[in-house]
Amino acid sequence: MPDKNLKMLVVDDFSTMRRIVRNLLKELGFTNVEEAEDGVSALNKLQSGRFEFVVTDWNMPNMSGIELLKNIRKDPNLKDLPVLMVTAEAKRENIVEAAQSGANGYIVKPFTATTLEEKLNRIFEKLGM
Amino acid sequence: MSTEDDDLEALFDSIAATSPAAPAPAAAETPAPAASATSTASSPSMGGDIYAQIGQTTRKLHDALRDIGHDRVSSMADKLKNAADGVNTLGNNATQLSSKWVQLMDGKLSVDEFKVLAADTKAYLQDVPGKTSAEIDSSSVKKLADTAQQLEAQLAQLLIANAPEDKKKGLDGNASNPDQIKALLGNLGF
Repeated sequence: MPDKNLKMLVVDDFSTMRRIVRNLLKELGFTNVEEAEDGVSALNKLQSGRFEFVVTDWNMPNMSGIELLKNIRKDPNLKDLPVLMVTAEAKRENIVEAAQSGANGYIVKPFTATTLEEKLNRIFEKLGM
Repeated sequence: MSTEDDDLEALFDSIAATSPAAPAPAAAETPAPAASATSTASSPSMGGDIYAQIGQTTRKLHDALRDIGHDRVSSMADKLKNAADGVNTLGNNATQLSSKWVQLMDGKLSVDEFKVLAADTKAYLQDVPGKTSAEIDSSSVKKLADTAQQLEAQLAQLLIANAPEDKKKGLDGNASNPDQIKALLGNLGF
């Protein structure tokens, strides 16, 4: 289990959804959480702050979650950042695209704290965090 | 449904295992060994059933809140809040009284002034119990009311975020007050 002080970025264009994810993370003990409202502002934040984990929604204006993911993997400073993709539907093609683009995990909305914890733990385990 | 999720999870893993971000033309579907015991009851894939359940739950909560009366709960909480404000007055009065007592002990008060101070202090002490309990009630009731309304709004957001495509267009994405939630539930057929 990584440090609960892990610096996380929650990306979603819906402020309520950001709050929901943030509250779930808080339930799990992660309180060092910041928010961004789309891929563009997320990328800016990631490039200027030392974030250690990203939870991003898929459908967003300006830059979608999958584009954000691709940009993260292209950036030499960010390429190893763990990214958990949040999708609205458990569609095969979405999950295939997320995996191919280098996502570390995916989670289908809506989700409980338990599901989020499982997904996070899987990623932590795989990355040896 | 849970098996479906496991299959997708396995699919994700099998693709992610190959070099990330590399174009993998054919997604070889290898039913991976069920990784760790991940079969919680609620692994919601927002299938029709779960969506309908959330809709119905939101409807029940909305109706329950309406029956209690959003307005009544709010005004009750406000009244209690006013009572709680009295507690602040208690704090201020305590400061004034204690400074008088310090003066008394320094021998700076006359007998008449001491009598006034004693009477004020007695009245003050009698005042305390009512005001403190009012504060406790106020904060817990307010918290309960706020939590219920937040829950309602969060459920409503989930309904919006996962609404069927054909209904999505008609929704404006706002569901923070009772009227908006009522309209939302109506639009979605709950």
